[in-house]
Amino acid sequence: MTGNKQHETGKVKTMKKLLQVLGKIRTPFVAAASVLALVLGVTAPLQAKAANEITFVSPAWIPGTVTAIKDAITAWNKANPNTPVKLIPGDWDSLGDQLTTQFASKTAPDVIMFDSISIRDYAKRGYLADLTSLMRPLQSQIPVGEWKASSYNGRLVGVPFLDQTYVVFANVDMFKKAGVAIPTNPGGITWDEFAALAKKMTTPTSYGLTYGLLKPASSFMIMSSNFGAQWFRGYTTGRASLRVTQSELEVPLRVYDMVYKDKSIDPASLTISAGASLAPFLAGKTSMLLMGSYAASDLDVAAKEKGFNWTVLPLLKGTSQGQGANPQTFSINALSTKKKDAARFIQFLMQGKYLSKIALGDGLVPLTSDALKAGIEAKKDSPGWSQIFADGGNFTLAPFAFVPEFAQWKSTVLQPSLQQFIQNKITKEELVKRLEDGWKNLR
Amino acid sequence: MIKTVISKISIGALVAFFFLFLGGPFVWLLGMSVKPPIDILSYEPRIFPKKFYFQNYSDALEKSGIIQAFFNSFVIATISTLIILMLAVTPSYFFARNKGILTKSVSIWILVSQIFPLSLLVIPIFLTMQRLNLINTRPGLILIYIIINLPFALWLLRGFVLSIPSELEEAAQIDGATFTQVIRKVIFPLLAPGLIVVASFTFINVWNEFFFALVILSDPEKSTLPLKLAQFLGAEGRGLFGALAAATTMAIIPSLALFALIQKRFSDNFLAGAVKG
Repeated sequence: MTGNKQHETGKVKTMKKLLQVLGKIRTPFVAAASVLALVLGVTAPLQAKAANEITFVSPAWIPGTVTAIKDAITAWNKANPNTPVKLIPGDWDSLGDQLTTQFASKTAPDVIMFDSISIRDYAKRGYLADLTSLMRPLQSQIPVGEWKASSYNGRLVGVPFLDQTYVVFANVDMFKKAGVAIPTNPGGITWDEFAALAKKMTTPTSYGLTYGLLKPASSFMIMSSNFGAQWFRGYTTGRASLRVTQSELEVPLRVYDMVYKDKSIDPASLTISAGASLAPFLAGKTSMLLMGSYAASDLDVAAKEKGFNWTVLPLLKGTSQGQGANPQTFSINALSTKKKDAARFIQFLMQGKYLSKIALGDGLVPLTSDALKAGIEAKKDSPGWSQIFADGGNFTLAPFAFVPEFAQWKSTVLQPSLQQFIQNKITKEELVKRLEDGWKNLR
Repeated sequence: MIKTVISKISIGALVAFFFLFLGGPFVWLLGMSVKPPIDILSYEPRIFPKKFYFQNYSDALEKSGIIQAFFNSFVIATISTLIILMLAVTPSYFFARNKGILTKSVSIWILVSQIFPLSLLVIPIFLTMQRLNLINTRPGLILIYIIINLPFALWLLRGFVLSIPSELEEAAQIDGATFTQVIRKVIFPLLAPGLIVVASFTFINVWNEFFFALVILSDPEKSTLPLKLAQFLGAEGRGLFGALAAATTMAIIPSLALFALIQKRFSDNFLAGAVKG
């Protein structure tokens, strides 16, 4: 009992001492709290924004495109001073993370520029407004496949405005030097003809083709439509099922053969990104480059500064020239209180004079007929650009674009499996197993 | 004699290797910041171009609002660091000098809190900030940085306090110093190196932080430097690399300046606090 009492007295003494110590050295706490309060107080009023302001997030980064978008916004703001648009720059790599948290907390911007595959999950969660009736005036101008690719459960959730094809760029001077004619067949060049051409252009000092294969998933998926690849089935009735057949494997297998059997693809391609694959092409180390049409904007710079002579081959063809559509889109936040004004703004941006400039900056194909006409007119002297614009009619519906879980499967299963296959680390059979098992195990 | 020469050569080679290893990326960055776009795409690697191209710097400065972002980062990093220092001193002293169960529990909790991946905390922190009406505000971001960095600062400072002999405090008290005077005139001066280490760690952590700034700030005028730098990059490995390198070169100046200023104290005292415990 006495022992307990002594113990308690000891405890009380310790506590008293602690309180005394804390009391004596409380100054830093008070100072810190004061600074924080001051900061909160001083900067809080900065949060205010115009009541009717439309916020617009855009991950556009190429100077030509950014300027075109800013010019369009300036023109809008001048014509609509009561509903001004505020541009919020984003970036492609982290826009998804940013929007996920903003949608969850109901603070997402009014208008969102992204792409049809990335917005699908947001549409599934009900974060995006149905634009079907608001955008009806534009429907006749946009290819049906692009419109459908940007819809979810029959509701338009993003207005498709730009898309890219994967094309083969050619170094005209190298072809001339080799005495090989550049194919111009408007019906397209078959994969067999393309492989033979790449082999023909392979010499002891240069390869026929460079193709950034560090992340091959996007280009393989888009071009797999050449062979009628479906990938997913039953996506309209519930959870899609994945089946990897010969159609789905055609593009990876053909590229594999070009790397290891024909040896016509620069092996450095296996470890470089699409962006880095421009370097060997510009240096004359390869005569052809397989890349998104957006490379045209970089090649224009090279042509201007170093006289680089380039063109684009007719679109590759399997059983068709079709390439899966994954357009860039404009969406409206379902919780936006300015949906009608936001829709008017999107229609404003979609005018030919603005959209063609946005497309030319990015090196992409504009999806309205007006903008396409304006783009063709602006680049009528460039055979490469003319070919890119002519290819715009080949976008087809890609089933994977309708599967909300596709983006997750692509980054966690498809991309690493294709990398391993193309680097000769796994067999075709192992690739199929990993893709199908990966889909089944996806949560 | 031969042994000494070999030893000196080995040490010299090792130092040269470390210099190349640590300085190489910076020199490459510097070279890229003065290359014209076409040279950046060049197949043959070259550290510096034949003709310097300073347009990258003006592109970075004029076109992307980077000065505003630089200012925002500086303000946020400075305020966060100051508040963390003020908040960390007292508890670190308390935890160093008291060995009770409370101290042990808090110490364990501090260590455990460092194990959680930050990505797990994003949504709860975001929702809390929303309730506090601090989304898209710099104070909100500062608050998050304080929460994230305070435990480590406490832990580090506690080690420094432990390295100060308590006999010094007792001697001062015997000489008639009050408790406040002991703290102000004995502990604080001896703790200065620790405070500098903690300040530099915190400042650099906050200066470089990307993810919370990304999800908390949506207003371009409030963007921090890492957010602006990310906007120089596009998809599929493309980007405005010249302007990005120029902007990054400018962005690392404060960190370099800070290290240059405190380098001596940093190297002298960093280990002093680390092994006490």
